[in-house]
Formats: sequence, structure tokens, C-alpha cells
Amino acid sequence: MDSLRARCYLRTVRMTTRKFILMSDERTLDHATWGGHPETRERVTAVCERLRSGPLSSSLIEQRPRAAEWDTILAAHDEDYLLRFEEAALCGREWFDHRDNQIGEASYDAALLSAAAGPTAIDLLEAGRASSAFCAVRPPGHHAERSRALGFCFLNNAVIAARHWQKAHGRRRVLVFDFDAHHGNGIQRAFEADPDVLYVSLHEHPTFSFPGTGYAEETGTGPGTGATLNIPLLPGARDAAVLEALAERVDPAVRAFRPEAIVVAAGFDGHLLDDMSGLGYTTELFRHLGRAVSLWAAEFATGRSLTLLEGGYHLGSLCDGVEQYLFGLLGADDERRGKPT
Amino acid sequence: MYLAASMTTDPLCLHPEMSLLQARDLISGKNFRHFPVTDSAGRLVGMVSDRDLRSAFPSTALSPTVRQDQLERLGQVRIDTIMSRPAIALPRDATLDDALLLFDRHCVGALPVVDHDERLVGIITVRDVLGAYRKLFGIGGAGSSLVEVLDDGRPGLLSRIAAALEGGGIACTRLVRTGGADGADSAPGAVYARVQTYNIHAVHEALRAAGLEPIQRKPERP
Repeated sequence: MDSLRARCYLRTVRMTTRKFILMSDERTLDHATWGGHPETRERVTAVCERLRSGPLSSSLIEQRPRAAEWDTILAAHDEDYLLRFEEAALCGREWFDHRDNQIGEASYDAALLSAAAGPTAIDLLEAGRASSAFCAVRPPGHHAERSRALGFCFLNNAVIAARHWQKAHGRRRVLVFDFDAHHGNGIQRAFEADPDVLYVSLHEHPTFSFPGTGYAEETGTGPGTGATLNIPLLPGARDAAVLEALAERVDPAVRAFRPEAIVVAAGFDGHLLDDMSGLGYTTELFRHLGRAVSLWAAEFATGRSLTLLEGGYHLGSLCDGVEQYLFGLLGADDERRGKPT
Repeated sequence: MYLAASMTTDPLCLHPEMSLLQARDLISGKNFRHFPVTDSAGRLVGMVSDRDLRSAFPSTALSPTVRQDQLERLGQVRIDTIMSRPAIALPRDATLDDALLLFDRHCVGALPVVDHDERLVGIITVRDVLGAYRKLFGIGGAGSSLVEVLDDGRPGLLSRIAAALEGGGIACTRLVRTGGADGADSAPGAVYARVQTYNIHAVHEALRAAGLEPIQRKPERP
């Protein structure tokens, strides 16, 4: 069995020939958390180390985010909020808006860099440097609202990236696909009235899980009605529930929407070993998710996709999950040509 | 928990001597479905629904002549001939639970609210009650998680949970105990705590440190 698994693993690695951009910056590690807080700097260092030393190392194009542009950030957040956040960090406050959101002196700058990673990567994708980019940055973003930090998130990296793709490159229809175990309330809130952004989220049911939003009946508002697809999963849900939803709900919605650009809010906290959710995903599921993104990108978005790291707090399963996701993302073209997996 | 904060005050009222045609003109274009009927002193005397009114009007399938004749007669028919009475009403100091039980028992969509002199002070609908409970239980608002704790049958369970959460600096807005607490239900009991945090790991740690058993629905590894 081990031998078979090893052969499959190597075959997966061999077919992973496409380059991808790894966007990271050691300055995001200066965002301080302490006292057993789950969102640690080790999350990003472990992921980067795995990618640099593992089978994907030869596929990396390493890049650092440029300095954040104010207008880009203002597409997702109010200026007063940003000033309040900066002041809280510089004044030595230990948390911002909620005790969950621990901060240190460098947290504001780290959050800006994390938010700038998406736009920087998008510009590189549009310049043809690669077709996929993975941003291994922190703090994460999908819970952050326009003027409110929430759930370890301060700036909504996915919203900032999606708006940049629309404004800077004219990709009007953007898919934001969120498979973090927790609903991305900040992303939904930003786009719920916007028919040009399809927000799809697979997450643990909001009756049980943070942040308590993302019920199936939330489908968007006003002109955005129908452009939000929430798929809540009951505690204990395994890969099969996700794969079924992917085939029967998500894929038809994406095909109907025909996105010109794809932003993925990638959380790995649905894994069996991650105690921040009640979901029971195996590592293998993340390869399926990467493959789905790759197929959508190839069919609708000239092959391009941007992936942003959100949650994932068990270091081992986080690294394994990211790696498998990228295998799926980078290997799907080979599969479409009929090669074995 | 009192319904007064959730009811609509100063609702649109009908009067018992009003004709059905006058009533129809009054409510036309208004997005209400239930209308208290009050006397000249503002005392509640009955209730009329838009369905009651529609039922009293002649069918559009009738010939125009017959229908017109019947419509003219409705100008002579008073509201108090079709209203429900005595109206089931709630006192001003009733709770949301009172309203919920009455809605459930009588299968109505709205209830008038009266003061001690039977004067109408408001109306509360099923939607109002749903909205109030949604707010009360924090459903749909961003920022909370639900934690399930095994009812170990030992005394002071709720106090111990509250103390463990407070000791961990974890804000808790609701504790709901289910199961066999009152002996009426033989199912294993549990307490549901709504906590205002994402850090569910820290919540579980705090509960375990206090000798409590948080229930996790995580599946076993295959």
C-alpha cells in the first residue's frame, strides 16, 4: 500500500511542471500573536518551507508583495477604519476590535503587505509570468468587514484582490471561491449586492460555527441576488459532502457565471486534525479542490487564478493541504488530456 | 423578552360601523394583513384580516352585472359583521413566549396588544416574534460560535460553564440547557453556549481545564 501511495505521489509530482508564483514576505511574520493563539507566524513559515523544500520547489517563482497602494485598500475598507487600526497598532494596543484579533506594533504594516500580495500577484499573472499564484501571507482576511476586524482578520485580502482585478485589468466577472471551514462574512458583505462577483463558500453550518453567517438562504441582495452561493455543511461532514456539493451545486453555478478571473480564499481548517472546526476533510480533498479551480480557470479565465491563504491551524495538515491543493491546481491540465492521476 | 419592544404601535385600525367598501379603500395599498377593530374610545372589539375582507367580496368570475349589484350591497355591510370576536389579545406586559404560545395554539398571524382598559396599544405579528427571537439568539449576526458541553449531571453545571468561560476571558451571550434537566426528557443532556469568539480551541481548553466536557462532532480518522 505504501509503495502504491508513493508511486501515485511521484506521478503527481512529475506531471506538475507548470510554474506558479509563491507570494510571501517575512515581514508578515512580525504580526504578533501570543498565549496559544491559533494564528501564528509558524503557519506561514511552515507552508513556505514545505513548498521550498518539497516536490513543488522547482515550480516556484518566488515574489514579494510591493507596498500597498492606498486606493487599492480603500476599495474594501473605510479610511477611518484604517487610521484606527494603524493607531491601535502603533499605540501598543494588544488587540483590535475584539480580543480575538491580537496585534503588535508591526501588525498594521503586516496586514497591508498581506493585502498587497494579491494585487501584486495579479499584475504578474496578467503580465504572463505564470498562470497561478499562491499567497502565503498573514494575517488572513475573509472575516474582515469594511470597518470591522473579526476572526483574526483585519484587511480583506480577497475583496481587495477581486476589486483590483476588476479595476486594473478590466476582468469584470470575478469568482471568489472560499473553502475555508468558516464562512467568509467579510467577502459576502462586500459583494452581496454586486452581480459581477460570484461568491461561493463551503463552510461548517453557521448555527454551530463561527462567524454565524453563511446560511443557504443568503443568496445576495438587490442586483446581486443569486450571485452568492453558501453551502453550509453539518459538523462531521467529510470529503463526500464537499465533492457532491462541488459537482452538483458549485460547478454548475460557476459555469453559468463564466468568471473572467478567479480568486480563491483557501482555508485548510476543515481538515480532520484541525480542531478549529467540526469538519472532517482528508488531505486528499484539497487536491480535488485545486483541480476544480484549475479546470474553471482553464475554461473561463485564460488559465489564471489567484489563491490566498486564509485559515488552517494544524501545521502538519496545513502544509499537506496546501501542497495537495497546489498539486491539483497545477496538474489539472494534464488530466484533461487524459493522463493518469 | 417583553413583546412591547417588538410590536408595531399605532397600527392601522378599522371601526365596527365602517362599511366593507370603506374598509377596502382604507387598507388599499397598505402592506398589512391584520387589522384591529376599535370603538370610538380605542377599545379593541375585534380583528379582521385581509383574507376575511377578500372572502366577503364577490367573485370576479361572476357576471359584471351581478358582481356590481353585490358590490353595491357591500356598501351597506358593516365591518363588525365579518370581524372575529372576541379578539384574542395580549396584554402590554406580555412576553415573547406568551405571544409564541398563542400563535401556536390559535394558528393566527397577528395578535392585538391591549392595556388594562382593553384599549389597543399595538399589534404583534409572527414575523415580529421571529425577528425578536432571531435577535435574542444572535442568529445570523457575525461574530459568534456555538459550543456544546456534555451535561454531566453534577450540580451547578451552568455556573461552572459560565465561570470557565469568564475565567478564560471568553464572552458568552447565551446558555441553553437541553435534555434531561427537568426529568421530562430521557435524552442525554447538553448545554449550548453561544460564545463571541473565533478561537474555539481556547474555549475547549478553558472548559476542559474546569473539568467540563465539550462535545466535538469531528469524525474519526478513516
